[in-house]
Amino acid sequence: MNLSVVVVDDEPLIRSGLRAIINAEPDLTVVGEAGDGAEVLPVVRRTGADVVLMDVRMPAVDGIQATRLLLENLDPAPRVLVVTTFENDDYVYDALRAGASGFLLKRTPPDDIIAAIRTVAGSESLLFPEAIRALALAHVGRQAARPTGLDEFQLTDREQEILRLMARGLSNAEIADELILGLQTVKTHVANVLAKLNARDRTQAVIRAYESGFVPLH
Amino acid sequence: MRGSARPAREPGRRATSPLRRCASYAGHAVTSLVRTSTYLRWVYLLLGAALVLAFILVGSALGSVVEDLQLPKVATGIILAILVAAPPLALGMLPAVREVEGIAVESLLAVRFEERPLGPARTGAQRRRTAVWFCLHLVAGGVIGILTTIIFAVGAMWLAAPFRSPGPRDIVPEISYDVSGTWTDIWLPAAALAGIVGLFMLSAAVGALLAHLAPRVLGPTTAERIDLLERQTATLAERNRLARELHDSVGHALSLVTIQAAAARRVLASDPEFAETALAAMETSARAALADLDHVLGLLRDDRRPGFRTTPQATLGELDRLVDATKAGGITIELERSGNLDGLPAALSREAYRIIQEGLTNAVRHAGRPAGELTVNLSIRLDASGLRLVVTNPVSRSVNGPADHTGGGRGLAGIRERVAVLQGTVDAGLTGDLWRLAVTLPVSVTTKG
Repeated sequence: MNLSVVVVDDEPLIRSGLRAIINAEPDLTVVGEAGDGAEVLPVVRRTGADVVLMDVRMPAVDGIQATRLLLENLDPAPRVLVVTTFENDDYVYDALRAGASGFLLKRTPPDDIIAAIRTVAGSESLLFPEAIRALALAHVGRQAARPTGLDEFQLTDREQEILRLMARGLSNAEIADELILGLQTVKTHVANVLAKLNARDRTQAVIRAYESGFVPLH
Repeated sequence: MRGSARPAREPGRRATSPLRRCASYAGHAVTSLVRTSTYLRWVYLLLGAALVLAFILVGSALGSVVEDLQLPKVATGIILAILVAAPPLALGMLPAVREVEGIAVESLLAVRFEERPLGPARTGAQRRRTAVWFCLHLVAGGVIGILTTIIFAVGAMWLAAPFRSPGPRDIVPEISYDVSGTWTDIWLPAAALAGIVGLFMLSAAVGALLAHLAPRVLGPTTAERIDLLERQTATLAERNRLARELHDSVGHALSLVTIQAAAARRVLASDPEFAETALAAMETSARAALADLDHVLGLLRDDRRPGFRTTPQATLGELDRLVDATKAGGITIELERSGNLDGLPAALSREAYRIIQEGLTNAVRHAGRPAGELTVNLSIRLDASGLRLVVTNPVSRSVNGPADHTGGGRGLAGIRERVAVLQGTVDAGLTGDLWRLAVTLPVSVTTKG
């Protein structure tokens, strides 16, 4: 499977570096670049990219807004992988809530960058489950904690079980092993969970599970 | 298991009877003789005594002149009283005395002030309180000094008395005692030793009293403490901001270097040209990051210690460069200046430069409009009344509302701090949409720059 990638960063040297790293992979191609969030939508529309590597902090339109724009205007929308300098960047969580599928640190070794692109494109498992939990903890900790649960979404017992395993970062295949189910069954359950929670991918579903208190953060 | 081995007496009940308390005080007094602090206190008091001696010499010289004038007794008395009291009070009012006394009190009386180190007196109240402290030091020191002189002079004779040949000897000037050469003379050296012990006990007690009073008289008042705390908080906030900026800029540069290095390694064989460009980019970013690091660490270091400054601070001589750099951002600056700014003392010129720099930074920060539409008015005037700096700039009402500007930001706190050191005045406020910062600095001021 060939994946097309768009790189968004206001620093040309970061773009050229990421482009070289990604293009070195035979099955990945950088099909476009953007220097600001405002330029992302036309580039992705023109190229039909699968994955967007999105810087968070950009001068005019930041990565959060740009992610939102992409998801509102495109169907199917590309997977957005947020790229950030700092681990504890408040904006990262906002970008995840806005619909980004995962995030990457700029200092991540190139092999892991490539693996992360493949992971979010494949949507078979959650990228960096531990980091997402930590971000959710930091974020929910700042809000008034009032766990609402997920009762309103009427998940079946099996679906609830699967959502918990998703939050732990298990892939579909691993969930199938754990619950002794067929892979196809798991995929159906995951699709149902996402549909019921109105989440575009696992990341969104897991964030919702954390924020509602359905999956405990501690 | 029956009962316990613990004694029936409760530990909290001890030393409440007067007898025990007296014993405790006595024990305390005796152990004071083996404590270093006792002798340091004595030295502090002797310093006061030495000063008293100097004042006595001056006073008696002037006093004899006054007595020669043959004025009425009351007038002579008043003049003598003034002659005795005025010099120490006047000296105590000097700002530097607070600093000197602060050092002496900290090192000899082992007092730790909240304001460290205790600076020179900055306000009238501080000067007056320092003068009071100075007089206290002189009086206490004078008493202990006189006692020390007597006890040591007489004590030497008394200690030696039993060893002298029998017969009438002077033991105090004009009082003689019949040295018998037997055990009955033993009271003389015993009394001398008792006198010496008593002297040091008294010194310890007086020193303890002074140490107890020092923070109240010499140290900062409640208002000054609050002010001090606020300034420390502002400094801390400023440092945090700098640290954040450093984190951002160096983090950015290092990310860039990491990504470029990773990319270069991947394409080294297939695309050597890219690898070379990447190396150049890494070199440039790393260098820029080091420069940032140098700059911010320079600011974070305590700039009250001049030896720690890495780069010389800019003065008003570099004003044009600052203005040009600000203009490069698209801002219009209307600059008026008058007076020979080159003749200013370097320290004052440096501070003025930094105040203008802060003022311009704040102007840009709070403009709330594109740089192209921002006009800042900068006026620098030097005349007999001092150096006057005025920065006028429009501020946004929409973003934060005017209330946000009346309190002043951290930048303004920094300016106030600098100006306070130079004993100048700051006037900052909003008139309509215009923010006006006016600073006046006295030019003949001496600074510690």
